[in-house]
Amino acid sequence: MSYVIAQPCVDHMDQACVQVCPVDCITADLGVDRKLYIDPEACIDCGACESACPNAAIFRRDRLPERWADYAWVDAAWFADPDAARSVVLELLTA
Amino acid sequence: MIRPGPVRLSRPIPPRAGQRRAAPGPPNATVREATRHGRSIVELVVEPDDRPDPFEAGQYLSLGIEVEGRLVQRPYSIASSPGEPYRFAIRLVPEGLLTPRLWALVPGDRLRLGRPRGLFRLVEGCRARLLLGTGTGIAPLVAMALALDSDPGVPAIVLHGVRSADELVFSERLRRWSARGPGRRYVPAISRPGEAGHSGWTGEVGRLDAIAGRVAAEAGIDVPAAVAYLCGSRPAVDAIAGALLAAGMPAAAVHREAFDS
Repeated sequence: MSYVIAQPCVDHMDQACVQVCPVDCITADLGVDRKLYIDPEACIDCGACESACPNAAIFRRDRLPERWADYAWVDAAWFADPDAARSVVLELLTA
Repeated sequence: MIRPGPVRLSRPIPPRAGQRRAAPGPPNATVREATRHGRSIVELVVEPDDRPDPFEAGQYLSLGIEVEGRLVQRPYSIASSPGEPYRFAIRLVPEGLLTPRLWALVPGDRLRLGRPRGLFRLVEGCRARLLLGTGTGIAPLVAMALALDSDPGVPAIVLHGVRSADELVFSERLRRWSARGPGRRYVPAISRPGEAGHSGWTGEVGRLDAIAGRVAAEAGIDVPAAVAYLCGSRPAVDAIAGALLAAGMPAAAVHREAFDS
């Protein structure tokens, strides 16, 4: 299923999620990325990240608010093509 | 311009080049003991192959077993002190993918351990501590209680709420812990006195949300001035937190670790 990090993370990147993920599947290139990303192939659906996030940015994929639905693609894409994911984030922010 | 719905989800996700990112890796630890408590709790003692990572009491790490070529992992709270083999308490979920395999482990079996993670930890500077856990939620509280051996002056109560007495995992460790300090209490409580393992029970009966305030008061603890650490299922933790807040504990003094299952 996986969890997804949505728009409220952008330019906050608290990283509490990284400190609680038991399988270390949350990452970003610090200094380059404006949000963190969850690897859907490694996520074990424990939900610790959602509870820990102080910005309410993380959702289980089936509970992602409609206006942020594209962030599921963004998180998955980042792990194959970070630049493609980043350009979509920019589009979503300026939409 | 109004954006039409989730347009990108229909685009294919780019394929990953080469190997999967950060494949989890082979077994790195050995089961030393496996002890069943009642019908659904197993206590595991696990020794890592290499020097264990440092951790703070209250943290958890993932236990993993390979199932049909894939590593299946779940996080479990560490119930031991740094410097001894890891100890965990696992609740069997019969229809689950992992816990039936954890339930079946015997000494010598191999596991993969992740690294300690989590933000549920002891805070400094309080006048009294209440550690309240239900079921296997007692596990991180055991680690916290043991860590308090370095802070013996502050009163601390550990309450463990279970359905029946045969689920009181870590009871011997907690009994010994409570004997090491005058301001310490270990209070096991069962909620279903009619069930197996109850015969001869003379201890507390009831759910923790109902008895926590009274037990703390009887121990001379001023609840509004204390700090609480709660761990268990989400409904149990919410109920206990509600009781403590109603007894005057500030919300910032209530630390929680809740799990969904």
